[in-house]
Amino acid sequence: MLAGRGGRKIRPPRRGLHGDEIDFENTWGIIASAFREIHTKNASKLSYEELYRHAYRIVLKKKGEDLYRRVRNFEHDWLSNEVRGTIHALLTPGLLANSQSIGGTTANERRFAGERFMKGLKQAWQDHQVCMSMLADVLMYMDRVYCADHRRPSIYSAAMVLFRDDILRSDPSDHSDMDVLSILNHVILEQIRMERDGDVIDKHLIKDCIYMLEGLYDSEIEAEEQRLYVTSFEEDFLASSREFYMAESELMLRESDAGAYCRHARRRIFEEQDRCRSTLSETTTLKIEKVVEDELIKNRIHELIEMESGVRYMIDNDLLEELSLIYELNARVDNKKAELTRAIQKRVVEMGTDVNSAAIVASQAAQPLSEGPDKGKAPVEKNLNQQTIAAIKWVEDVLQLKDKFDKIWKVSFDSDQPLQTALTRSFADFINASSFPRSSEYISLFIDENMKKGIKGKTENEIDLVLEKAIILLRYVQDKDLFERYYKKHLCRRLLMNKSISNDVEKQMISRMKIELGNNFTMKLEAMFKDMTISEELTAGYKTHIAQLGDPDPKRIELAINVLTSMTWPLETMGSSGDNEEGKMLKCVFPSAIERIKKGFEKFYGEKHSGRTLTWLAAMGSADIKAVFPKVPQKDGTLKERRHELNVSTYGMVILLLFNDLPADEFITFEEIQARTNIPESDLVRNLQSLAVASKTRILIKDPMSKDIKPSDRFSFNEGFQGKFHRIKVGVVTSGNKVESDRERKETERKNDGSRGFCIEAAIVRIMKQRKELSHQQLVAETLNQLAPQFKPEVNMIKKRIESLIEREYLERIENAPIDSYRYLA
Amino acid sequence: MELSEPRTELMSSLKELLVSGSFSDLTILCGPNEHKVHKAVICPRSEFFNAACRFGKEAETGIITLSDDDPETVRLMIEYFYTLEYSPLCSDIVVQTPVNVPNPADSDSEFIPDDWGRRKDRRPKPHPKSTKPTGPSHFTTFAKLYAIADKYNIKGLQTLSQRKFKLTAESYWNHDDLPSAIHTVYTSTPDTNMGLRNIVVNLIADRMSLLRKPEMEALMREFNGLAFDLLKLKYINDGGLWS
Repeated sequence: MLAGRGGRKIRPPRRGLHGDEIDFENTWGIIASAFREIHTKNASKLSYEELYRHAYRIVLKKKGEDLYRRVRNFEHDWLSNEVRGTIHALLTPGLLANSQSIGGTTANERRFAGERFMKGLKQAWQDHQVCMSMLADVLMYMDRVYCADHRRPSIYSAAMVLFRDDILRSDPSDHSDMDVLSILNHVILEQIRMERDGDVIDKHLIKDCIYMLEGLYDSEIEAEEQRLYVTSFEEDFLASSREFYMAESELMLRESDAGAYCRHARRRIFEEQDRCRSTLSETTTLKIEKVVEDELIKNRIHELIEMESGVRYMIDNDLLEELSLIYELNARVDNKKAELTRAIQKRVVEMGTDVNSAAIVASQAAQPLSEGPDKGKAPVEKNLNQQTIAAIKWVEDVLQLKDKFDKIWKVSFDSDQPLQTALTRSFADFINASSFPRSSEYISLFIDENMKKGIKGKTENEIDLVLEKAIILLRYVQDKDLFERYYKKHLCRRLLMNKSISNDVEKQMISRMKIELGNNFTMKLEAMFKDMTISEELTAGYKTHIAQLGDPDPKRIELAINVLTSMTWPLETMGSSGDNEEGKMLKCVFPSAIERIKKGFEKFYGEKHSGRTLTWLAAMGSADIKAVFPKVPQKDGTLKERRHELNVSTYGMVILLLFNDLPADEFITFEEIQARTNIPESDLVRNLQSLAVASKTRILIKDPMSKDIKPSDRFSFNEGFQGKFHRIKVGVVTSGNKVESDRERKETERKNDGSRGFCIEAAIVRIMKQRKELSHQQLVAETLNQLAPQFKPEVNMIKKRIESLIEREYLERIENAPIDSYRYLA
Repeated sequence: MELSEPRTELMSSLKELLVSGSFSDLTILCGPNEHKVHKAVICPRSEFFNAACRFGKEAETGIITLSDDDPETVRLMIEYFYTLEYSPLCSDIVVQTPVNVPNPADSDSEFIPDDWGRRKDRRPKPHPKSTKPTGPSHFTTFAKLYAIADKYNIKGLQTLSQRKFKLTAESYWNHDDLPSAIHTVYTSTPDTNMGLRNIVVNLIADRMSLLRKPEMEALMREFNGLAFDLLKLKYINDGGLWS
């Protein structure tokens, strides 16, 4: 390339041979007068070709720079002399004053003065733009050749800058430092303030002024963020809006309720979005949204939620719409909705704790009676019943609470995932609270109650619903092992005492738990059902076996038997729970007739399954006895022998049979009965209470007659017993599933801890077998992890189990390891 | 019958519009000539005409008077607007093998076409073995079209004229038209416009003997820029560095 632009810096000396100077002045004179015509809107007679040609000639003759300067000066003079005055004239003292402080003018006066000012400014700006685009057309060749070659801004841009400097930055009064631009800002801001207060303003007029600010730049750099709109107006707008909303939020918090506040805040955000669209610039939308969100929501969300009419009130009164507004607002400023989550969680735990407390109060109110001086069992049973009712109420209350929050979550919280997690955590928190250790038992009791009574007459769907409720609560329970223990105990009684309404529903429940908690959990429960089935077959088989022996004894005693696998059934919780080991060791002495049958079945069973030992649990059985009472005078005077069928416990039967051999007028003492039957004392006491104290089933006469049973009491057959029905059920005390007493629960927990120990050891060994070596921390963490579906063991317990495994040489400590670590010993 | 190409269809209809003046919505006056033209054809290609049609008197009357331009040049410019060419066509400029001895004593007649048609008659007929081309060279025509394209900002016309000027320079470098054409080049566009200036400098640099012509000497003396660019090229060709 030859002679690029860079090489032109040094020019050869010019020769003024052609009278160029004179030509220039003449030509410029023609152009300038045409420009004046254009500015006075009188361009229709001007010839474009002529003006273009003149400008072209000047540039061709290397006078581009002069022309450029002349045009600029021309515009500067025009703006300064012709335009500035008219703009300044629009600035009333009121406008000048209110831009600093509130003057003596009324709002309306200021408003009209402001509009007049904006109209004038807008007109001047639009005229300037129109004229300058005509000038730019005329000066096209100069722009293309001179400005491009010399890197000058186009004449149009240069003239826009002039408008900025000569008009917007001109100072209308001597005693203030406000220029036209800042007065314009103030006027616009005041109009916006009016609109926020509910007035109607001329949005188009403001928008036109905003266009002007968007078209001008603060400096030479024509960048987005250098637009006057951004550097001058927007900043003021955001700052004054922040101030406005800060004050407004304070007022609103003081004077309205939370629901109204939410609605207002939402409306404000929409208003500001709309204002950016219609009056200001869309580039401001996000910024002003942030200001409103900061001032109305972010900085106030805590106060808002904590208001008297806040989230707590909304929850308590099921104000779903208000809650959804709070949710929407919180979500705007915080992805995590931390404040709302915190308030909701707090309320869940509060309400849950109330439910817990109510249950505790109900159970404590019942206790003083059972601890009274009279240790009779009947009132205790009554109290326990009340407790069972409390347990069921607890379950219902918790479910109701869950329904309530589920609805809120669905309707108001848009089914928000993190909030659901938070709700679940809070429910788990109060259900597993250390101050309330009864959840597992209560849930199991709830199922028990429904299996025995609740589902009677219900449709399949309704039953499904009940089962689902139980499962819902079960999901929250942390210590699944404790639940399993209670469930087994309750199920055991239902099965053995035939209390279940429907075997199908029982099995449905098991399969639901299987889905929810896994195979391991339900294995033993299923085994219990299997035992029951096998036992039915056994009973039938034995009956056939006896029939085949061909000894049709009319007084034959029929035997129905349940053979229970001892590991599967929670037998220790059956019968006399208080007597522990002692009770189990004693073997009841059966009357000879019964003993014969027992032997017969043992032989029958032994032939089928050799090597199995049968232990007879007399405490759990029952017997139907056909009893004959001597003739007594009836109402009509006739004598009649009375036959009753007595349904009694096995122990009851054993006791009653003693009296078969006893002459009518003789008695046996308590001690004698105990010695001849070997029935554990507490069971004996309970059975004698049923037979000799309870008024409707007083088959024996106790002497002296009192509620308490003493070793010296004497018992004789009540020949004069009167029963209303043929069949009489002698109620056996403590045959139902009740809430445990504190002592019982401690016992249950102790046992549970015992079996937890095994679970923990098994988990540790499983982990170590796989990993071989592991640090203490990791081992504890993995153990906790593995056991999470069953229960949450205490770390201390894990430590003890590790110690024990080291003692028994399953593990060893790694010597000199930087952190405590263990090695698996195969 | 030969099928016509779509492109041919457009080009011939455009030419027809120019010749007939039908649908004309703009008149361009220049000297004795009146051109009935179409805003849709002209305005999108030249910001001058575009602006003129929106401005003052021209907008009102629909007439643009080009009072300062050469009527023939304007006629060719308008021909270009409608045909993308103007006569003489590129294909008519015959490239000659350069001949040895320049002979400055030849006629200086400049060919001015007077009609849109008969171009075969006007085909330059260079003498194969002659030492010096005769007949019209059209150097100045191309330089003028180049200048008017610059004035009214018609990019395509500028490119086309530059190409024609270069082709001519390769054939007619020894033509008597050259000095006056160079004068046109150096006075009709701003100094910074190097489109034709570079062609002129290269032409002289390759044939320095041209400087012996008195007309050439006069040019060198008048246009310091030309002289300097020539020296600069020489310096670079001699291996000098010019950053």
